[in-house]
Amino acid sequence: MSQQQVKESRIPATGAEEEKALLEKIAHQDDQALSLLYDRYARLLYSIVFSIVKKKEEAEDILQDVFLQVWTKALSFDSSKGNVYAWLVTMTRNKAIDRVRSKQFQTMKNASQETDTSTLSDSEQNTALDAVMLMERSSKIKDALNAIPQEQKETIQLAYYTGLTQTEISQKLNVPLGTVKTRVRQGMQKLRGLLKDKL
Amino acid sequence: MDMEKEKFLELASLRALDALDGEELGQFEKALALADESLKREYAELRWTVFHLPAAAEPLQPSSSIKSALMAKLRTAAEPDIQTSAFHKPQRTPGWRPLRLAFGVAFVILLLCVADLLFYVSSLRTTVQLQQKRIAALTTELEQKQKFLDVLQAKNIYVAIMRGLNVSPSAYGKVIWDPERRSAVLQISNLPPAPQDRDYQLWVIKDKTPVSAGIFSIQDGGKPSFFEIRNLAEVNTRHISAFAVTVEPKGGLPKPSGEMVLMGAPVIQ
Repeated sequence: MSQQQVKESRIPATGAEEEKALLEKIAHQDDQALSLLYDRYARLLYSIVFSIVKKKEEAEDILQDVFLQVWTKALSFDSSKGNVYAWLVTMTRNKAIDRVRSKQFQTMKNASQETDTSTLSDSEQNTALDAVMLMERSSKIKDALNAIPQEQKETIQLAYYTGLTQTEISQKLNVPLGTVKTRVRQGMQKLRGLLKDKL
Repeated sequence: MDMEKEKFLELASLRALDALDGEELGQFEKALALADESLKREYAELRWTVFHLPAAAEPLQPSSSIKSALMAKLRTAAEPDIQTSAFHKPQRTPGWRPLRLAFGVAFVILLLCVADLLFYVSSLRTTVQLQQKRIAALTTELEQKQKFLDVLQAKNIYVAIMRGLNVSPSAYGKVIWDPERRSAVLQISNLPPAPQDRDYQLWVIKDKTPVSAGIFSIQDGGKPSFFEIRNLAEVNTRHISAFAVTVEPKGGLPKPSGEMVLMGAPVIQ
């Protein structure tokens, strides 16, 4: 499968071209276009943020920051580097990890070790087709993750959801660097194979 | 599978997760640039795998108030942050204050330069205007002197020399006239400026009757003054007994009323 095919296939069924057009409208200060993009991605992006920061207020704040950045940076989106989904997800993840790494967040976290679970009860039941498809896809990906060995899953999740480097993971888990490399390599290989079958 | 390829895939898996650091990060980027199509495809598929990980997060719906607050903030959005590419590694977002400060300082400097330039242009304009006035004055002076020369160049000229009287004993003057053109030049020296409400008036004394030849004013009594006299009433020297200058009310009078300051008869015929 060529890199070009990977970019344009197997993305959420919302239409790459349609989203690109939305971004172009946003670049021309069309707030209706931003509203549409928000409706499509808010749930996914919020879920990503919350899985990283684990605090509702922080997650909401970051989500808002993401879309404010979309509003101001839509013009600079380069479709040759990836699709809108990849751009949004990367931006969101980066912001969430930056927030977690910030000193202020660390201070708040040390003050309260509890995870803010209130958002779980705030989840709205969304019966729209996109939401159902998203749930289904989410379920498949979670199944794939659960199908790989626990230590491999844990290592991959540490890298992705907390932004730790291989060295930091090695220190956190107290395992040799070589072990981290092997777990990531083997876990990613298995995960790739499983996702190709399921999606 | 050889070690080199396995090493590439090991680093690629970490790079796809943005978990590669140190020297290996640079080594991988170089290797990726030189990799063949099959290895590049492998890397692309690893990135594809990573892009699905977000969907594994527990689906949660944000509060509706977030969207409302967002839409309200749109028009007062903060300054753009650094550009995020599809493969950007998380790092601290740079502070905008130093850049804003630099732009602010640059703007102030620009304003000062513009102000300075405008002032310079304005002063240049003033200089140009002054020079233009001076040129106009010199042109007028030149034209006047040319006319004087025209009188002097005439084939036949007549001269009357006037002496200062009691009021201005050191003053003197000449009338040089061209009978053919009926024009004359009046030269005056050592005569002080007339009072503000007065003018000097030149008279041609013809058959003992004074006829006005015009009024004039002295600007600087220290320098000789020259005046053009047009359409001299009488040019026949046989009829002219004398020339005289009196001090009259501003604008002159049909007949002399004021004190006489200069008088003289034609001497050259």
